[in-house]
Amino acid sequence: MSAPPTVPPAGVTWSRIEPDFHVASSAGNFLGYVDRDGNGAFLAYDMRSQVIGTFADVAAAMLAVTQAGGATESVKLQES
Amino acid sequence: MAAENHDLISLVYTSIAARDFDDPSLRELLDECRFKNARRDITGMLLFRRGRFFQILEGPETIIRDLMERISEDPRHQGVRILLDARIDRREFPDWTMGYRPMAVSEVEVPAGFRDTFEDLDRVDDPNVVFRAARELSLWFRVRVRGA
Repeated sequence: MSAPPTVPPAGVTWSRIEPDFHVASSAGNFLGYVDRDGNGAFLAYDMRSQVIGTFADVAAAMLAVTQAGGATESVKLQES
Repeated sequence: MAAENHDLISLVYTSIAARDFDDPSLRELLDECRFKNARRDITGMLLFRRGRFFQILEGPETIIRDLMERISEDPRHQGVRILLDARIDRREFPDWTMGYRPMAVSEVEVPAGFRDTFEDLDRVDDPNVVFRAARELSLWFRVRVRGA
């Protein structure tokens, strides 16, 4: 798997449950999660478990979750 | 479900398996849970990872508390610790008499700055961290079921 970013964005807690399953929260609120599909792509999901986008690397997927959790507009999708 | 909403609770606990649990043993335990739970209006999920159980039980309060007491006395469990105990308005696992999904285990350390959900379950000094970790595991299960 590609490596996650070494430093999470300030104020965001990322937890790892499985090697490719990471969950984000901030101040106790669930922000979203990143999971990997069978093709090796990383899927970013928002707090309603809706897909935000599909990414080639986990760091980009995590960024998308973080941005979606803090922004009112949808993040730009980066298709893998 | 038979239980009125005001009677529902969700109880989350973790324990250590008193003996090795291979796949057949785990299947046997799940079959037993599902058979009994279906008759007692109990729903929930079970995780088993590195010799440790993590279970969410939902159902009528008296039945769940009775079951928890029996689990605490069950010789298959050691170090039973209740993580969360709360009234709920609706079930998170209404269709599961005891849901289970195998979990991949990483030999790679969690990267610096990231939390390990399973280690956070042991943060008895911080209920908020334990609560978050339990919610993360619940989410993981629902995602895996959805993708099955």
